[in-house]
Amino acid sequence: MTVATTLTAAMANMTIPLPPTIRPSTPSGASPFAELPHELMAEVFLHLDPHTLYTSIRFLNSNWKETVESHIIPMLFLTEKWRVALRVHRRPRKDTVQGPMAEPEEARRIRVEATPGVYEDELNPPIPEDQEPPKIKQHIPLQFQQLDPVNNRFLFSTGRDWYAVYEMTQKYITTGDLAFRLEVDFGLVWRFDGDGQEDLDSGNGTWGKLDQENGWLSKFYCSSYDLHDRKKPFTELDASAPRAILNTTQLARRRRLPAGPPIQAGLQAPLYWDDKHVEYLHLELTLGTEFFVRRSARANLLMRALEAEAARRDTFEANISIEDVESDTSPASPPSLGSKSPLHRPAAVRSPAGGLSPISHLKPGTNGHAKSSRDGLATPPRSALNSQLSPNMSPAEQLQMMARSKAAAKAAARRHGTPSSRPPSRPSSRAPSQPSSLAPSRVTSRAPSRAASRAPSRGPTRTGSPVEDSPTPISMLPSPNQPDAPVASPRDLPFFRASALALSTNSPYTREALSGYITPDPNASLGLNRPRIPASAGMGPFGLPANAFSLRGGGGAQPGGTPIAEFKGRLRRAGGFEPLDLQAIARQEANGHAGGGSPGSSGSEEGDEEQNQTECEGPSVWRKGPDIRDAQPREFRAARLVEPDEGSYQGDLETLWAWSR
Amino acid sequence: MVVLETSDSERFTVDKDVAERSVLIKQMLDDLGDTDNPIPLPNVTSNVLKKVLEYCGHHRNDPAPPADEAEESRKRTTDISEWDQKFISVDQEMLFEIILAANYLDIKPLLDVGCKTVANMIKGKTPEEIRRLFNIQNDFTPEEEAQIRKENEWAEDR
Repeated sequence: MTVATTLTAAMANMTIPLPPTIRPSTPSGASPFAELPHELMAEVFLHLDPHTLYTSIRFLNSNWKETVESHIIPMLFLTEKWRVALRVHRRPRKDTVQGPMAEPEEARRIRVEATPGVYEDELNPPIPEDQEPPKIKQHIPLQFQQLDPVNNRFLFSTGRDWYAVYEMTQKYITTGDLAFRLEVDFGLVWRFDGDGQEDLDSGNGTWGKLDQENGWLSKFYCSSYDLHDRKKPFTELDASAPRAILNTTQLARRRRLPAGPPIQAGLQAPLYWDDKHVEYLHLELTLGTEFFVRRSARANLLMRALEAEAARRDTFEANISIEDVESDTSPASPPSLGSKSPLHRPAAVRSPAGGLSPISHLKPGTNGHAKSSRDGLATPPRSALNSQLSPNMSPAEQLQMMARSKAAAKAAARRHGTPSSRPPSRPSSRAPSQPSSLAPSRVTSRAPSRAASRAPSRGPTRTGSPVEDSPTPISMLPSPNQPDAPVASPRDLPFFRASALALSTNSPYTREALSGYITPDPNASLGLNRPRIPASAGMGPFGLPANAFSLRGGGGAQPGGTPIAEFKGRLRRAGGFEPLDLQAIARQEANGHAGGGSPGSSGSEEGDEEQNQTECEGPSVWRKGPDIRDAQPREFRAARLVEPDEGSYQGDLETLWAWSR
Repeated sequence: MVVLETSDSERFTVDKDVAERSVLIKQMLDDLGDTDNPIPLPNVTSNVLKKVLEYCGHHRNDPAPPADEAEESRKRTTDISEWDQKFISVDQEMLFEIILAANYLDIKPLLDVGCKTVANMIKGKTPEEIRRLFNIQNDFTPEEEAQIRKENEWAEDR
């Protein structure tokens, strides 16, 4: 019942008001905003969630498709409203040498910078002995390159930026042991406005959390299995010019070393920050659009479900009221056909605009529907049902209770021979009638592209008519007070449907509903989702809970599944770069040559490359760089990739690291 | 003080710092220097300008938006503040007029509030619904539409 619990918790916290919806103001169904010029409509669409933008706006017409793909989405990434990063996490270091506790910061800096061989993390304040060293976390931002609409993928890269990730150990140099690489793990993080992580937007939280649900999809290690050493650079990946920006991180420390041999006996050469033992990473990432779209789709679908539930509840209240009136007056007599029954309130009818949100077409604050939706599901309705609903009930329990009562009311109506008091039927194809198949169930949210309610007809009802496509919640158990109440299978109740999806992959119902989308047998999925995450990572064997199913093709909800996250990394030791003199480059640029190089900027005219490649005569010149959102200090230096036929670099020049899900 | 004249010839006298929340008015004042002549705003009616000035008055002490558009967009807040939410709780016709006025007067934060409000209204709607609301003609062929429907299937509640 994990899913039901999650649902309950999620809905109990659902106190946000439902937003008003746009209303048509003309007979044609158009709103006043139809008069907005194209650029202002684009401005509106810039504020949309990924799901609406990608699946609705992009398919308004060919013009908007082009605008979304070539303007709006790139702009969203450019302005970092949408953003993607690689989260790199390193185990705490055990070999950190710390100075005196009471040492002032400036004195510590002077001491460290004058000490040969020290690592740069000694510049940080010392950690008390009774405290654990902190975990090291770094985010590497990725620059949006392009959208591949045919394959529904975003392409990202670090551009010209390379990031220090590994410290090569002496053990590796002597024995080739790559164990040091396992001290670092990686995860993908992505953010967009309204992704539900706004409360984390402070300090280091601006990148949010890893996707807990899909950790198996977006969390990985660098193992020798994925690596391919090459003596030549992987030029096929080298789309950018050979100039690079090498960025420091907390993951791999520089050392304080003399810049050369002693100047004379007893007089050592000046010290500088050396990174020869550091391995830098450049990466390209292909990410399925569903990483963005799916998350916001859940929110949208949940919102629809809440709206529908509120409308249903409102109709139910009306039903109960009618029952009360009938029982108080003449229970056996049907209501007058000519009377204006509250049942005929247009609570759940299709809106003039064909809207899916029956309640939301009404002005907020002026009607009971909107009010009930704003109150949230945890608020008991003011009706006869209140006598049965306890304030301590969870939303799920309240809904079940309401469903039982509603079924009882229906049965009573049948006994009385009244016309069906069902609310008007909902729109057929996309009605928000199945909250259960929505995704509050985060565990199953990738799977139910076919909802439980779309399962084949489940046979005739007691009256002989086929069960409707849109389920009416009915009681699980016959009420002792209502012996005629129909008995429903658990799947007819929203939360049980969601639970069923999560907990069972063996029922014929689930198999059919999910056929073509998933591999029900976890064992069969192993070949499709090759494990890269060890059990020690807390993911369980193969990253799947024992009773879970996995998505075919390792990727996602798209039928047939395609690799949804592809990662191509290039690892290169600092020796594979030659330093460039940024000052000389700046002088050239000041003289009219374009093509500066700064972290985060990958653009430069190719024609200026040769002119900008001014090598340093001495060791690297480090410069302070802008922080990368997580407020961690950063330095960088310019460099040029060494070609295999030049320089004196020995051994494997570059390592290709390819990983995909 | 600055005098603004609307399209329906109504005049509003406001503090200069309030008026200068509009980049358009600020530039006009920079060009004109100190003047007692009213600044004509032929694209804005009095009832809309009144609303816009209410916004500018409330935000008169806000820091000026960055000159760099990308930087400015980056700093835009995700959510609409409580005051702004109440301010923008108007009927759709007025909201439409406010958006047009904010665009004309070049008041980016107000334009953002308006656009975000409209965006919130259409979240989760289908292409067909949005086409109808924005009066957008669908020029996809039936085959293209079928393909689109298929492409979107995975994200829908079905």
